[in-house]
Amino acid sequence: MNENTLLKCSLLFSILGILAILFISETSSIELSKISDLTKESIEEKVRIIGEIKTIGDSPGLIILNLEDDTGTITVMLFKNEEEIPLEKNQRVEVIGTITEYKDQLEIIADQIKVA
Amino acid sequence: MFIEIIIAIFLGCLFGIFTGLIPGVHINLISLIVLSLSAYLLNITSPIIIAVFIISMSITHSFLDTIPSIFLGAPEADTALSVLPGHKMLLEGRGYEAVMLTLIGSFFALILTIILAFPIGKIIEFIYPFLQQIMSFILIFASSFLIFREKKSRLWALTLFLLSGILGIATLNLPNLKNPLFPLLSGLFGTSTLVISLSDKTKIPLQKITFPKISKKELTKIMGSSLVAGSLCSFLPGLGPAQAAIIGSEFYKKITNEGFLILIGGLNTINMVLSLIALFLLDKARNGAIVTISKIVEIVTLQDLLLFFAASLVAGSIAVFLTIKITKIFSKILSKVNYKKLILSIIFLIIIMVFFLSSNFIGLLILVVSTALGILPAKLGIGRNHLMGCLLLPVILYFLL
Repeated sequence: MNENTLLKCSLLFSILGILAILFISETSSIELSKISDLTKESIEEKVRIIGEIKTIGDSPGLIILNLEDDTGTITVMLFKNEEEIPLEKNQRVEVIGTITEYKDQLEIIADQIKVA
Repeated sequence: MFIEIIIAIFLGCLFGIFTGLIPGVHINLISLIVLSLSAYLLNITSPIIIAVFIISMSITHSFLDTIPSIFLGAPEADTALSVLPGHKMLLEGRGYEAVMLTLIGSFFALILTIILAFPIGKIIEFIYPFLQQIMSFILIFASSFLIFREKKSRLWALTLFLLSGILGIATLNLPNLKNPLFPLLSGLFGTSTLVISLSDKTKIPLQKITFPKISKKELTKIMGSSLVAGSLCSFLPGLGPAQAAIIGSEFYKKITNEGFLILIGGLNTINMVLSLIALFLLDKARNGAIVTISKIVEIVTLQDLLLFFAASLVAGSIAVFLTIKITKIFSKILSKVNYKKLILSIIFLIIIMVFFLSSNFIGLLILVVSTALGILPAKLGIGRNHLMGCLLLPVILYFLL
């Protein structure tokens, strides 16, 4: 092994890595879902939904939203951070998060939430 | 999203250069800063992009951090064991070779670990519930093995282990002290080595830029040892690359200085990659960077993990190029600079950083005490790895009590 061999190997693997990233980013862009589309088979998947905030619950470290679109409602769990966007009832928001199950009900653990 | 990921990788590599080359600045520190800024950052990008940034920074750091370790005698805990063989080679004018050996270890460990991550992870996932029940005994056994293995003075090894353990417990329980690990680990593994370098009045000879020769057979054996030892230590709390290096060298008898450097280089990177698997499979965070990722990305999916692996590959490949270039620069200028002034500047920088990061004078006191303790292994001629008692003992007591 010499320096040129090491550099060539690293170039090869960087190209492979970039191709892998391209493939993953192309296949993982999250399509907009309806709440009624979410089933137990969606658990652990990342989803994107748009809906209206019906209720806002506040607990230590957590905000619990009830989100509604024209197909149903779902609970969204949002972990509090220091700079949070102000949320109000009847506000239309876009949520990106992961589907989980709690007490036999589907919920979304939100990664991102923004005004739609 | 693709462009964002690539930008995150490049920014991560840039920060990795900074954390890797400046002694005392650890990725955990930058990860903490990122976590504290996460609320703002999440308004402009997604958690996955922030995670990619942290991973790229960590991988680059793991490639580059042997440069200050070998050239400046200023290692961190993870690279502390590289100082002795690396410094020997530096004094023979072969500093470049020493860094290239760790680079070979890091790069091939990165590729191998990514390929074998899932099988290794599944094995660990299977045995981890059992391991968790006997965690304290495993750690006590590992610590005892490392102390028993000390040929020169087991009593001193035990003493240093206990002293550093008590220091670790005291430091971690101090109220109103921010970032307690920074002065603790900087003193034990950073400034202590710098003080020794100063007192030894080391003169660095002219450095040759020659690539090391290593046989495929030796490389294969060392990679095998590092994978086994690195896998175990990635999942066990308190055991890091330093301890894994000692354990790994037990699997490969008659390991040369050169082989040991490849082992050290590989272990740092294995630790990082397998920590990602531990997060995915076991929901356990084994280092500061992964803790930050676990807090920002609530649930790591398989797709996220594959993306992290791909980003690691790209960052590692960039880091190969960076390491070669930077090491050549260090080799050329080191014999021309005033080594004493350079060491003093680095010590001064660490003191300033401890003061600002700890937010009070207690941090400086810890730095002084840990530096004093850190000097002892070198002067006693025993392994520096026993100072990891500063983290091992608190972890053992946590599981026992």
